[in-house]
Amino acid sequence: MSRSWRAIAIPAALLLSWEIAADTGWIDLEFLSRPSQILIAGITGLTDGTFLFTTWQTLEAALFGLAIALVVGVLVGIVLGLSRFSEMMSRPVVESLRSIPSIAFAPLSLLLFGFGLPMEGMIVAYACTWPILITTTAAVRHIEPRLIEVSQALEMNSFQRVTKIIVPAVMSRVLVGLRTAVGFALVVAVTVEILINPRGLGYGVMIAQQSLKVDVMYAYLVWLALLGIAVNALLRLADRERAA
Amino acid sequence: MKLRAVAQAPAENIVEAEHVSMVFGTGDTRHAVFEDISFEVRLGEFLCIVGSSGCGKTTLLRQIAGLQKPTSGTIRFNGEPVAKPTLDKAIVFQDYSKALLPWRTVSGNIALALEVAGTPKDAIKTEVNDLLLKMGLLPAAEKLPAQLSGGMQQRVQIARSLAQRPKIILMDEPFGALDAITRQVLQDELQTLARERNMTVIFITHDLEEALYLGDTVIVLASNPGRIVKQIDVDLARPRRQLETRENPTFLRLRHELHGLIGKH
Repeated sequence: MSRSWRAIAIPAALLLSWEIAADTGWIDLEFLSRPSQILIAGITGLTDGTFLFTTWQTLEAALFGLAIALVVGVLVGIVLGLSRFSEMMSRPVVESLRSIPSIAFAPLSLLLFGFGLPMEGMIVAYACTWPILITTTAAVRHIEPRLIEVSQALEMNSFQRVTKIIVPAVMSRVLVGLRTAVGFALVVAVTVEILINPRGLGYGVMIAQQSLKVDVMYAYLVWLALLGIAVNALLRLADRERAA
Repeated sequence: MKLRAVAQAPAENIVEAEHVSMVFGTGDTRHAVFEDISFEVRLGEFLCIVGSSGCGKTTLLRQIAGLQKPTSGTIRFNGEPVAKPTLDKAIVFQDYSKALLPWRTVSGNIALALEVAGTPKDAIKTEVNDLLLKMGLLPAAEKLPAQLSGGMQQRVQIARSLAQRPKIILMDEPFGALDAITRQVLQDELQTLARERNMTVIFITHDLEEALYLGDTVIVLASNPGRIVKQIDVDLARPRRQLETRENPTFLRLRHELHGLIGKH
């Protein structure tokens, strides 16, 4: 009890001084708004459905991109993990492609797909494929050689070897890569929306700023923070579920 | 004791190793793991191969399994040269914790061979249940390997190999990592299984007493390079018993006779 009290003491103090500072006119409300207004803007956003709608748009693109990244990253990762030759051949390509910031592909993706979910999803997919691909490759490399021998002794065909041995054996490590990717997904999706794509939370932040609704803009930021905390909590829960 | 024909037709030999060698390099850098090893295994025979570390006994077993190839010589299984691992040659590895799929339950591990062979689900369930019962694993059926003791894990691996319905079981020091008491319990379980199912077993060990206790035949390998120094038939009544058999004069005589051979280089 006293612990949670200490945890909120500083934020509460900051918010209170912000509110007081706004009251006394020390700060410019045009840029900084005030906690009470932001709260009202947040409640409005939540009740009229705009927050939920834009959140869904962002999550939709993030999930779409993650799904593609998971399939591509795991499949390519398994191939590269199993064959030293293909890994050697593709290393320069992988290394150079993954060092390009995914956002740099926004204009290209716009050309290819136009505004909307696919262009955003593809950029998310690009960003998220790498951590999954790299952890999968490493995980396949580290599979217990004895398990591969077991698969040979049981005369498994390649398909059975992948589904019964390799995929389950690398699963826990792939989930670590996926965790990193989930973090990327939200950041990239919101960034693309702020930058170029007229949908989702990022676009909401942009529009609020451009129409000088500073309180709405802050409310979006608070909402994004809560969303990030929720996603992290979900991931931790999944981790604990897996460890149990 | 089993009755044995004096002259055996080749068909009765399930495994035939002829002049099998494992040699690396030539000249000064030549290193022979083992050289010119020849032996046969009859259907239903329990063969123990005993030797100290470095005599290449594990390598030899892997070659019989088809996981490795000899540098010269041939190993035939059922009359055909061994080319690769097959379901009818089951392998039981020493390191049970690595050889079991850690994400699969005991039942799931035993079912593996059956799934691969495309056995229908109902049949898998029945078969797995039989094996669980047989191996005393029923209470552990839904546990993961890591939740089991070493002895239990090794039972799972044996059950999985039995599920393959193999013609031969190749065991690589299967009880080497277990404590003395568990080892004896598993020796007796294996002995009973082998008799009930008339199994053919090649059993690798570095423990001479274990080899004599379990084997119909014992092959002694010396090291550097690995070679057969002795092959004996163990004329001890079955079922063998931990106390009586180990105190039997024949057992003691064989133990004395072979003891010196193992260390000798």
